[in-house]
Amino acid sequence: MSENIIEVKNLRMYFEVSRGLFSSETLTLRAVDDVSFNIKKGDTLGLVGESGCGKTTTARCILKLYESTGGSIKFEGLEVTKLKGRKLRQLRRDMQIIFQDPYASLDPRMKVGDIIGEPLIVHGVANASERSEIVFNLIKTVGLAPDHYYRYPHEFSGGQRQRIGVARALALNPKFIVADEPVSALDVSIQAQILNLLQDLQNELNLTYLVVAHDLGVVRHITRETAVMYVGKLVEQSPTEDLFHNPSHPYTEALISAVPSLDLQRKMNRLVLRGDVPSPIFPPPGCRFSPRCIYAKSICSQEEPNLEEISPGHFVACHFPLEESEYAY
Amino acid sequence: MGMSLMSQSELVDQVKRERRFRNRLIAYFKSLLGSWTATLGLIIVLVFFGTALFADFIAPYHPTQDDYTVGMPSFQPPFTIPEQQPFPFVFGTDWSGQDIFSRVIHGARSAVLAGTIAISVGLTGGILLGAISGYVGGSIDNILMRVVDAWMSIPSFFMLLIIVAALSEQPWNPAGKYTLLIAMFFVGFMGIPGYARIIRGSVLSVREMDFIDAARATGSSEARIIAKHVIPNVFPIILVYATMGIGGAIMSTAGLSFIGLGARPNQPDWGGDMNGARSIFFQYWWPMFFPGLAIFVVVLGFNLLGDWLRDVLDPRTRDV
Repeated sequence: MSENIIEVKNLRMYFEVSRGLFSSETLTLRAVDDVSFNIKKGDTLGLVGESGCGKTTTARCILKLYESTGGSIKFEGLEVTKLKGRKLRQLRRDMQIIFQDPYASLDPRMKVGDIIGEPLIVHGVANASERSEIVFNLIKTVGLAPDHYYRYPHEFSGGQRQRIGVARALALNPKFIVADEPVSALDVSIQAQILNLLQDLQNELNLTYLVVAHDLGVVRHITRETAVMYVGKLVEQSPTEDLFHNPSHPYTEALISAVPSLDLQRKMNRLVLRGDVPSPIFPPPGCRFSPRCIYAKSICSQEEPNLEEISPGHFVACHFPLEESEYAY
Repeated sequence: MGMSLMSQSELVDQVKRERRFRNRLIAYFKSLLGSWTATLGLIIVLVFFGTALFADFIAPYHPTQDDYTVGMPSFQPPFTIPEQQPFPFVFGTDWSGQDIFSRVIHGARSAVLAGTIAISVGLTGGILLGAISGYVGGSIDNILMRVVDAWMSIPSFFMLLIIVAALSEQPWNPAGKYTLLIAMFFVGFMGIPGYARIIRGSVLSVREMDFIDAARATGSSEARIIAKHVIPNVFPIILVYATMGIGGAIMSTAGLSFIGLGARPNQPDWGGDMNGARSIFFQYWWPMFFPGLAIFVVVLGFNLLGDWLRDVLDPRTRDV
């Protein structure tokens, strides 16, 4: 068993939202509500869930782009949430992020070489000539051509821009990279290229990834471990293949049933959820999934289930975890 | 085809050469000459500034009649060749025999001053308010923007009338000596909220972009983020609005002079000259026509140049 590089414990991120135009009252939006998970060194954790469930917020808390409301985040045993100043800058060298939208994540007024080299300047890592050499190497590593150094982001396609984003994330030799929906803005054919690039880099550089995604196909392709979020809570976490074969939470089952497949043997009817996703401002009592759950019993809307280990490495937060699912594949 | 025959290092060198600063300037200039509207705009603006700077050397006659040793004939139509004076009256002469062409040339000075003063005041105020509002956000943003809203709800020309009229009869302003400068200042002042809004908007939109978060995630300081990411992305927008705003400021100041608040009597000023010739327009059109034409051409020039700047300063729309 290798050691954990990231340990997230009881992470909470609440936002205050104003009630209305003329009201000074505020409401609390519980974007992330008591989430805990660990990531092992060299591993890849997929964080899945629908939009608005808090997965990106969780990722941004880990990178300290948001000040979390409560809980603890440890990076190699170091408490991240309290870090400030020089210590925080030091930490930033080890953790990087790849963004979802390759059109918004690159400064349109900077040349590609300057974009990739900026982290090096910020940390004063190398002098000008060493820096350009490092940048040229990074450009090669991510599969771009040297003359791209002097070009502007708008001259590139989405996939190429994402490669630039990857190169920037790699510039400081980080240990841990958050990929926030790294391929959801790209064409399917390009998605595979970027995912394979990420995997190759992981093997080469011994990186640890947290991949935020809503596409289960992407998650299955790239991760070893998957955590499912629903309205700010973790509902299930398990090794990825196990999750697909034995989804234990009814929400996970519904997600998996929605994955399109070319397998004709597979049951074709989808499990369609009724109703809307509850608001994270007014979460339902008990299990947050209970109003939409087809298996819900009365206890589900009264008592909140805890995340419990039902088989080795497989955690689920449900009063009645599924024994076996006909939607598994 | 040619590209594929080049080796990788040759290609790198070529792109590097293209991107060098001096070559970029040349490329900008070529792109400017490639568009006839931009070229026209640039020529107009250059001629305008040149005229203002060298008015004394260009103007064939003194702009006001008090210097003339020989009385000049009044109301000579354009292109009259006088008998006793050395130069033709290209734009004709006015009621007191002053050469309109010389007056229009000297009037460029007050127009340059109007543009410069008004734009400096408007931009300084606008950048301060807009940048603080957009960057700090929260309740400061709210307060500043409500002030701006209130400011904008005042009809600016009406406000200008009141302010300039009130200040033109002060003991420290004998015979309206400074009235024109006051008018220019307040034309800029009333433009502040407009600039503040635009700048706030662009600061906000830049601040929300992922590349700002990316910079933060690499450990960039706030100061570095502002200097390297926010300003370079907002500045071109400001430049475009400033260029177009100069035309507007010249027009507003001329408008004030036209209704008698601004230039002193007989001081060469396009708006003031039009005002003086207003009552005789139907007998003698040229004393009013040529200063008006000057305003029109200069405002057009700044707008054409601004249009081109907007395209060329955005790396996404320029082709250099």
